[in-house]
Amino acid sequence: MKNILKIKNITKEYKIASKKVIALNNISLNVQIGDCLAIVGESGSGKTTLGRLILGLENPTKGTIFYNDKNISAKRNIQNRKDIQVVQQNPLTSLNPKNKISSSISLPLKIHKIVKKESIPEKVIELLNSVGLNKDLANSFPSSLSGGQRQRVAIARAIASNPKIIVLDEPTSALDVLVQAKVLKLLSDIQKNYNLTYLFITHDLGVVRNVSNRVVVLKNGEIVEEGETVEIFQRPKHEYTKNLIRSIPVVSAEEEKIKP
Amino acid sequence: MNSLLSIESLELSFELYKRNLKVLNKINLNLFKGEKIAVVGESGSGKSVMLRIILGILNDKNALIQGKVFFDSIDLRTQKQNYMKNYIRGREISMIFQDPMASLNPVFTIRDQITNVIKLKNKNLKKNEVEDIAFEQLKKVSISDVGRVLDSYPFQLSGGMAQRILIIMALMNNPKIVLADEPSTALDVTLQKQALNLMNELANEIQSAMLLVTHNLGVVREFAERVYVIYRGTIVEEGLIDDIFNNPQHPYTIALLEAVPRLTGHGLPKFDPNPPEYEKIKKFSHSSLTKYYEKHS
Amino acid sequence: MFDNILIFWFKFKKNPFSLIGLIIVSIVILITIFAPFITPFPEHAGKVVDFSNMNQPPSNINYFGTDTIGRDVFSRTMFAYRTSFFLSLVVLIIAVPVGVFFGLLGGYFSGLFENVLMRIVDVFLSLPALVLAMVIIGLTENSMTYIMAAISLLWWPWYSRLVYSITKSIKNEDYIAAAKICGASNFHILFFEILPNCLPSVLTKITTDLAFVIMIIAALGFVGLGVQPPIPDLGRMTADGMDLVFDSYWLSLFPGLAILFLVVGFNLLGDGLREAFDLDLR
Repeated sequence: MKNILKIKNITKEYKIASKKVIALNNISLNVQIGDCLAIVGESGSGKTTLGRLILGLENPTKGTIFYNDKNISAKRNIQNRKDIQVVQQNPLTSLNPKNKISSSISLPLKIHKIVKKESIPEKVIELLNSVGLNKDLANSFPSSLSGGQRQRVAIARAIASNPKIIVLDEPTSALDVLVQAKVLKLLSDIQKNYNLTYLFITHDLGVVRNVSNRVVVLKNGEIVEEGETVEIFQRPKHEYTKNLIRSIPVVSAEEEKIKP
Repeated sequence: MNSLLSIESLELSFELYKRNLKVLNKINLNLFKGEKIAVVGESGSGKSVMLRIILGILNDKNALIQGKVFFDSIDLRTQKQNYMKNYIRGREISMIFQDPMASLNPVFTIRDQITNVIKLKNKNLKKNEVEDIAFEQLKKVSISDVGRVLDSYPFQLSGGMAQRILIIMALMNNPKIVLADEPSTALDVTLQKQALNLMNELANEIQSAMLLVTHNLGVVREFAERVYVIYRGTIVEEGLIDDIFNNPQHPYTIALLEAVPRLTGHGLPKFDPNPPEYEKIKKFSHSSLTKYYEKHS
Repeated sequence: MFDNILIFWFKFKKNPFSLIGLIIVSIVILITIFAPFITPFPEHAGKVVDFSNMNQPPSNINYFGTDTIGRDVFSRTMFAYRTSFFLSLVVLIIAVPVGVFFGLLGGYFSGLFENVLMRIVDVFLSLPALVLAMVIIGLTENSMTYIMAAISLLWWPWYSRLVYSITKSIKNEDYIAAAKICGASNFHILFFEILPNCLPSVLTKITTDLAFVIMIIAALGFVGLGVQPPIPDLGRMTADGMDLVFDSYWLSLFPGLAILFLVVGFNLLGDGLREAFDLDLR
């Protein structure tokens, strides 16, 4: 199976008030096509920073990121932008409050010339439908949509450019549990229908257990454990991973029993 | 019934552009001495705003409130702000809020803020007496460098530390009731466990009753003895912890439980694409409650 | 979309003072547009003398009385509104786009560019507008063009600072990052993502600035700089009447009140807009 993304010896340092902060310390990992790789960690683990590096919002201090064997660590070109998209955590801030929903969704369509100018409104409606939203929402502003609806719009925007990889940064953490269930199902369907690779950044191990096939556990900027999801949960090796799993408040006795 | 807190037929609506928004719909709730209960619901259910009504801190000109909130047989809804400020808030009833960083005043040191709380109970303490109490309290929760923490400003502390301090401040004056509004949601899962354990310990020590409001069913299961499930301002189910989790009856409770992703890896959580109008389905009270209430009367 | 406008209006009209401001500004605008048609002596705004009628107190013919060369004060005041408003608009049409442009750039591109730009802005902000205007006009020419140029030069930095701070505060928001990830150019982000978020504040400021600029022009007129006779100017008229204020009070009183009326109106409107916009940002 081909590695669509190769992260080699990535280090990211920040200078905060003349102190050096190491957010990521010599991280290496590979992502295969079709993976749903969960990147798990608590605050300060570096998972958000890793997401930002993969998305090209910042550059690594050391190391390289390879996309389809091409080095994309320095500058992103338009093709890279098209192929790697994002769904962010906070539905309240992921859409420009002053722009209509159709503007937000059509942005990638226009930049990457996905369809002809005349066909844009039609394509926007198609995208809204594919995330389960009514076409009437196209002319609304984000303030009239619920959190769940806004996340769906964010997903529609993410798939608009026909990307290959989507980085999901805590996509359901700000949603209620019933809404989360619907959005997780939507994400799963979309991954299948559009042949996508997901990088799923989250702290919610319950979600990780059921959406991902591989897991990487980060602590203080380093990888403490990685492997197949089933392995990690049934036979966690590192003490930190075990502690994380133990700390989850579960809703049933049988889940309680399988904790390490 | 001999309950410490008794909410009777509480209703809340907001006057908006062109319509009235009903947020709480005839809420009835009881809390007994030393009990730990949870009110679980999603956002918009009204659970957080209910806590604010209990303490009388709902500051909205458009709010219309009806109903009674009895604390120790006094209807708090009829009391003046002065009474609430001097006798109830921070003394008899205290509250722990969701985001520790937003709950602490960023321009005052921890010492200043704890001092304020200590002085609520006894205005006449001298400076060194206050300092002693503050030291003792922080040491109790295994904060090692107490002096440094007292000197610090909130931004210099970690989220976990700040939450511990908030919990201490809420329990310091031996309140009869502690209200907690999603107290651990902003924390990492390991810190969340610590915070909940701490709340449990301290509350047990002083026999404080706790009312926890949350959307996290796992937290409810680990923390509460009795549960109210709330949907869009209406209580739809009430029961003891085992009944709710092993034998949920109301369709909404069942839907909530099914929607939680399981550690056992049962796949994507299930949901009903066409749910019924949950608030129209009658409330279910588990039968074991009758005996339970008798015990507490 | 229409719903949003209705909700905005609902919030706006909750404050009675905002409505008063709106009414006043509407009256001023109507006067500005229809001055030649609603005044009894429109020609008195130009080169006219009528010594037989000089220094008449307010009457049924001359509502605000007549001045020292017989011109109708009411008509001249109405036309003076025109002059002031026109000057003010021109100043803002120049100052606002320039200021907003530099504010956007300064707030978005950090580093040397930001520092140099904002220090230039600081220099301009530290100069007192009225004094500098007087100096510039004193050194050059006492004409409308130079007045407008002088005041525009002093006005744009205020818009830069306003837009700079808004840009800085939103440039790290999620939706801006999302636009970058989509591949949007800096041009698109500046003018189609960030600028729309600056507009409510800018519009509010324009409203209160209109009044402010008119006051400065009036102040200049009061000291004899700026608009030259016979073009009517509120400041000039007030100044000219000061010598005779005990005998012919109407010469200063009405132009002065006219300034007050306009400034209060614009300020109330600006406050009302700000309140209504603020609530919108929820």
